[in-house]
Amino acid sequence: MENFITLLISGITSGSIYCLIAVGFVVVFKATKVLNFSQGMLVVVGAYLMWTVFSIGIPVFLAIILGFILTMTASMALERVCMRPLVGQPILASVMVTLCLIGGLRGLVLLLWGPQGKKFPVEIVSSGVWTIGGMGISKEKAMALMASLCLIILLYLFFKFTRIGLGMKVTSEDHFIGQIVGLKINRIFSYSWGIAGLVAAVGGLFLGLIISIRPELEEIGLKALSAMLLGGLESIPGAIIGGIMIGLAEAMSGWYLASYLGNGIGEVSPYILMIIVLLIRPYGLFGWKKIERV
Amino acid sequence: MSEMGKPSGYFDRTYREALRIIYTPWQWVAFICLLLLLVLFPLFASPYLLTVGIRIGITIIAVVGLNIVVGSTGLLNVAQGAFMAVGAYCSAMLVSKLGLNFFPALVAAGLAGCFAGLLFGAPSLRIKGFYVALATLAGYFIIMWGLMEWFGGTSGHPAPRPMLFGLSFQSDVMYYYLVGVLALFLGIFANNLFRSRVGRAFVAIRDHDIASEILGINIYRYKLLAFGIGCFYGGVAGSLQAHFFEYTNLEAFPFSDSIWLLGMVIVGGMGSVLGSVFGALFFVVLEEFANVVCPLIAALFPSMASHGQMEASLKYLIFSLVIILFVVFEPNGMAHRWNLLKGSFRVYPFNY
Repeated sequence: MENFITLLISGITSGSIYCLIAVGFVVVFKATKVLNFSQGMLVVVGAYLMWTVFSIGIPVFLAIILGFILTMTASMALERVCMRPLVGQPILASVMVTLCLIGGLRGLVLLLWGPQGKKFPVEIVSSGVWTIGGMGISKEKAMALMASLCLIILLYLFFKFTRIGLGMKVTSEDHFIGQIVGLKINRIFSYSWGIAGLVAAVGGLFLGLIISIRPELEEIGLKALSAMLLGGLESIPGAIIGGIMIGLAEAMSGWYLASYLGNGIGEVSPYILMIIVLLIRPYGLFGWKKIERV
Repeated sequence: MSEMGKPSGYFDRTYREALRIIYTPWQWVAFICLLLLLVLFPLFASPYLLTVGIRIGITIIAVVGLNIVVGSTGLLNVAQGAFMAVGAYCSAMLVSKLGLNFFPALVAAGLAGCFAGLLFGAPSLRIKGFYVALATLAGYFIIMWGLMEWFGGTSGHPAPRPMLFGLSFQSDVMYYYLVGVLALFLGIFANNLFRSRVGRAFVAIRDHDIASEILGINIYRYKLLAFGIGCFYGGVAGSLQAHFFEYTNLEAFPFSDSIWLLGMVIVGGMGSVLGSVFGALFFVVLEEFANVVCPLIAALFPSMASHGQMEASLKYLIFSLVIILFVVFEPNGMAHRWNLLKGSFRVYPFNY
């Protein structure tokens, strides 16, 4: 029982980073119907940009803001250069380009920052452990979870009440109708990638706090795809729940099934979950069910 | 043969004539010259060029298989590398552990790849578009984990060069002929498959699944068939690669390679065997080119090159840039360009 609760807490807290990545997937998908495979790599880029602004030695608060702006700009630039020409092209084109962006961004990161793992040079939150009822929770992970909760509330309000958020919903439904009601589709796309960049920057900040930053972290982004799928492609709360469930599945299977299926089962469990979701409920827990038989 | 690639002045009067691939005498001449060039290639090629040739052949087999799944059926398979790994492990283990001959092991490797493809292609029965990409992406990591846990781990297996009836394929020259014959045979098979009833069913499913079902095409069967055949090719290519390097482990099949294979399908041209050949040729040559150029670029920036990963990262950058440029500017691929080029020569002074 003791073990179980420890695993529960570690699963939920490590799920928080999946939540932050999955929210980025959902924002882009909701607005543009593009599944951005490179979101995980964007988070890594965000983490490296954060590291860079921290190392120039300006006050921490300013550095965080600057890092956010840089990552947003990078994300919007990617959209402008790589994704804009693909509007109206078949789905294969966007899948291919975002898959290639993983490799391209990885190359760029290796080129600019090198393969060594990096730690943030300044202390942003005093690292430590909170103990609740005898269980230790790492402070950074708890803060990541809280940040992702704050993000979903903000994004929920954004999609519900602002003009741009509502415009994104329309655009995702039909570009043509969006244009008829006077939306600038290009600008909507740009904003959605900007928001994804912002989410990636937050994710990168916590990624850097929790683990050291390495270019190989793109795999976390691929696992987060499973979180997004589980929650439903269009649902931001779903992304959070999916992320936590993936974190739990990883922690639990890594502990309980390791003696039967080997140590790697924890690592691979998100993918097994992904296959199961695709077989049973491809639209996820909270996604919109499309009435179309294939 | 499509209307576009057909020379003018040649009209099909019988079904047999309509099935021709090669029409004019000059096409025969060009074809035989190409074959002769390929056969005589080892005589004048340096050992280095020979290994490049073998790698091109292996890549062609993998890309043609992927083209059956992605190009003609429209199912986004992002895990061809994993199916190659299945084939490589299967034949390497059969040959080195059980002492089986290479050729039955090659067929077994293809069948193992085919089985893995059917297993992870099965979710595609209910889904389409990028969902299939997600399913195969998950498949990649599950296959890699399975190979690591149960089939010999990361240390890998030795894979000796084949022997048949006292004929040894130990030398690169013999192996070149083996790979060449297999690539030619599998390429012709795929080309004929694309022109057959099955191939047309694949294209119909890609273009509109609901309409093709109304036409009486059994979607489930044909989707699985596409995965089965495509991954059979993958398994064969993986096996050939393992026995070429005489050793195989999981590091030979990174996830990025699967993406590059998909990129070759797009750069070459979807649903065309000629396109697959172009794509494979282009990428292997590009990689060799990058191997030469990247150290030179790295030498220009000594401060950055200090970490020794500069070449790898430049290769990543070049490959993804090339694929993105092709997707943006020429989504029809090099095969389409090739046909346009031929067409413009054919009508040369009078192109209207």
